[in-house]
Amino acid sequence: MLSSLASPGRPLQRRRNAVTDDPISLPIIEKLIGFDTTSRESNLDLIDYVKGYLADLGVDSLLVHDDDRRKANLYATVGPKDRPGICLSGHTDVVPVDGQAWDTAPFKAVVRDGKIFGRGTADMKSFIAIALAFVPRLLDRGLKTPVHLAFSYDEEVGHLGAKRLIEIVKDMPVKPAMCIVGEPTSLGVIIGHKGKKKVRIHVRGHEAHSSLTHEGVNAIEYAARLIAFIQETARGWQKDGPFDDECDVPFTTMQVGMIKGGTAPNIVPQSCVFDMEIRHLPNVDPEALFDGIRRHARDAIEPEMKAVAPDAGFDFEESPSNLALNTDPEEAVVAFVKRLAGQNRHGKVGFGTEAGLFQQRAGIPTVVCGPGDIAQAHKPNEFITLDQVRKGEAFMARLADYVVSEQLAGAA
Amino acid sequence: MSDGKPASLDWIGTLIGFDTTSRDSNLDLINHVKDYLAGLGVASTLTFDDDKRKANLYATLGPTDRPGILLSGHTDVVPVDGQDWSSDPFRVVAKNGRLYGRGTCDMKSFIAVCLTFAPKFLERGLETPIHFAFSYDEEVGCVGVRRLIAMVNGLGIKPKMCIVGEPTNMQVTIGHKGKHSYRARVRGYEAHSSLAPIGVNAVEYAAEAVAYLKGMARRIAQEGPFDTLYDVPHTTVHTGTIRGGTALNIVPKDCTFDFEFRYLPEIGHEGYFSEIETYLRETLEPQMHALDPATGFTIEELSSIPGLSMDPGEEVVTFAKSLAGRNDHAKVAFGTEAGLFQQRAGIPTVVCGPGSVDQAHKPNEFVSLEQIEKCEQFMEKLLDHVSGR
Repeated sequence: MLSSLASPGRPLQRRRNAVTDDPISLPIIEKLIGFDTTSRESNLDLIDYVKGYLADLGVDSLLVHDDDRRKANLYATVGPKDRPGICLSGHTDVVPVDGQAWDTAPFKAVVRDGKIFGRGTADMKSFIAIALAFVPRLLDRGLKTPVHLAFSYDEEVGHLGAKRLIEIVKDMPVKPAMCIVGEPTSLGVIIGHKGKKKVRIHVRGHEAHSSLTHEGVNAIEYAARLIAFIQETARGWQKDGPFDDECDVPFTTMQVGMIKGGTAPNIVPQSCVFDMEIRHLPNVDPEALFDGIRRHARDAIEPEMKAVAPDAGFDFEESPSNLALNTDPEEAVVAFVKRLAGQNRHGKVGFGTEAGLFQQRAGIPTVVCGPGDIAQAHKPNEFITLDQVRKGEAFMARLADYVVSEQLAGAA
Repeated sequence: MSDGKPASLDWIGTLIGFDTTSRDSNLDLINHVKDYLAGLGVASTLTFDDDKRKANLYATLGPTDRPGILLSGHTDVVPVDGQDWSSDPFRVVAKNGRLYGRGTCDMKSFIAVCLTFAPKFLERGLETPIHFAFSYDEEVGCVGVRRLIAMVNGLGIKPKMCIVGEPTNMQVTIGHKGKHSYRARVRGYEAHSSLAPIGVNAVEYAAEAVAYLKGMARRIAQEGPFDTLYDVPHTTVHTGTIRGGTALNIVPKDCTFDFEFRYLPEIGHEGYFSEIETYLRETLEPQMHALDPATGFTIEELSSIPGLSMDPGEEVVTFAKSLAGRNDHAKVAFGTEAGLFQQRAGIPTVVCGPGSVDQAHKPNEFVSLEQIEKCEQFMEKLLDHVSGR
C-alpha cells in the first residue's frame, strides 16, 4: 500500500554536480540527442548505448525488436525482480527535421540562455536521460521497490514499438504496478489524453483532356469537397462541443495532413490521396465520428462522381487507432505522482502518448508526467529549459527516496 | 494507297517508336526527320532549347523566294505515367481499323502524313512552297514553338498561311480557347497537430481555394458567356495537381496546387483571375492572418497560350475547307500552337488534323485508319494546288 505517502515529505536531496551547476543528467541528455533516431531510421545505436550503460551498472536489459531487426524496445528492471514496481516509460524516436530551419545542428545539444536546444530535448529524450542518470544512485542506496525502464521505438509513427513491448509486459509474471510516461507536460500530472484515429483517403477520379473537364471526374476537386466538409465538421466541434474542460484543447479536433494528386496540368486528375486524423476526447468513440465523414463521402459526394464515371469514388484506408488515456483521479498512481511532482492538480492533454496502451492493454494504472513543454515539440529549434531539467531531477529524487525506503504491496 | 492501307503507316510506326514524352529529349526523332529530308535535298533549320536537349525543325520544300503554306505540328507527347495501357504505348498496334500508341492521335500521325508526302511534293514540282514546322514541348506550354516563331519572324520570306494538324477529325477549326495556368503556393503555420486550432493548415486552405475554383467553373457552365461554336461553349477552370503537408501529426505549412483557365479568346481570362484572387485576399487570407500574419497565398503564372480567333471569310479558312472537302467549320476547347502563329507571327492559321481529341492524353490512345485516309486525301488536294495543277 502507498499509505506512507500521507506522511510529511522528506527533505529534498538536491544533488549538484560537484564541479559546475549543470544538472547531473546533462551529459546523458547530450549523448542521447546526438543519436539521430528519426523514426524512419534505426534506433539501435541509442539502444546499444543504454544497454551498455545499464550493463556496466549490473542491470540486464530485454530487447524486443521490430520485424526487420532495425529497431528495438528496451525493458530493464532496476532493483528486485520478484515484486511489482514503478515503470518509467518513454520513446526513443523523434520526428523528422526535414524542411525545418534550425539555427543549430538538430542532433547536437547546445546549451544557451538557460535552454538545451536539439531535436528530442522536449520530446522526449531528456526524461529518459534523467531516469538513466539516477540509476547509479538507486543502486547505491538499494531499492525496496523496483523501477522498471521501458523505452520504445516508433512512437511518433503509431506507437508501433510500444504495442510489441506491451504484448510481452502484460503477460510477465511480475509486471509493473504503475507506470509514468515522461512525455513533456511541464511536470503537470496528466491523467487523460485524447485518442487518435488516422485514415488515408484515396479519391478515384476519371481522366480526360483538361479542355473537356465535364467528361472527367477531377479527383482533386472532389477531395477538396470532402476536406471542406472535414474542416467544417471540425469547426462545429470547436464551437458546439462536446467539451471536456480538463483537456487543454477541450474538444475533439480533426485535420488533414498530407495531400498529393494529379499528374500534369492538362490532364483531369484521376487520383488524389490525403491523410486525416481525428484526436478525440477520451470518452468519445472515434469510430462513430469517422462514420459521419465516410457517410458524407458516400451519400453526398460519390453519386455525382459516379454519374460521370461509375468507377469513381472514395476508398478509406483506416490505421489502427492510438488509444485514449482515461485514468480515474482516485487511482493511487495519481496521488503518488502528484507528490513526486509537487503538484496538487491534474489535467488532460490533447496529444497522444503510449500511456493509453499501458492502461488499456496491460491493465497498468498510468499517468503522464515529464519535463519540457509540448509547445516546442515537433518544431524547429526544439528546446527544454534547464529549469525543467532540474525539476525533472527533483521529481526523480523524490521517486528515489520512495523506492529505497518503501515497498509496494502486491500489484495495484 | 496500293494495298488498301494508308501510305503513311510506315512513318506513323517510326514516329510513335520514339519516346518523346515532353520531359525527355526529342533529338532522336528530329535528327531522323532531318536526315530523311536531307536525303531528299531539303535543308532543315533546327532551333534548340537552352540545354540543347530538344529542338524545333523548320524546312522549306520547293521555291524559297515566295511565301508558302506552313504545315505545323508538335513532336512531344504527354506522359503515360500511371496509365493502364493494353499494349506498349511506344509501339504502334493496328487493330480493328485503329492504330494504337501514344501520339497516334496527338499528334504524330499528321507529321507522318506530311513526311510521306514530302517526296511527292518534290517529284511533282512546287509552284507554291510547303514549309514544315515541327516543335518540341507543346504539351508543357507551347514552349518550343516560341523560339521557332522568333526565327521565322526574322526570315525574309514568311509563310502566308498555316495549318496546324492537331486532331479535329479533319474538320477545319477556326478558333480555339486560350489557356492560362497558374501555380498557387499556400503558406500555413505549423504546429503539433494536437493543437490544430492554433495552426493554419495550408492543405485545408488550399482545398477551400480549389473548391471555390470548382464553384466558378460550375457557375460559368450554367451562366456563360457562351460561344456555341465551341464543343465546350464556355470558359473552363480546373485544378490539375496538388501537393502539400508532411507528417500527419504536424499542421501542414505548405501546399502547392496548379490550376488553369481555358478561356474564350474574345472574353479573355483576366476577370476570372481577378475573381479568385479577390476571394483569396479578401475571404481566405484574413482568416489565416488572424492566426499568423505570415501565412497566405502566392500565385505564379506558369504558362500563357493565346487563343485562335479567325474570321470564317479569311483565305486560309476557305482554302482549308476546299482541301478537306467540306464547308463546315468549328471551334475547339483545347489549345494549340495556332494561336501563337496568328498572334505572334501574324500568319493566318487554322487547325485541321486526323483523329479526335477524345483519345488524347488517355491510355490506349488511337487514331482510326479512316481518319488517316482523310488526311491523305487532304494532302493530295494540297499537292494538286501547290504544284499548279
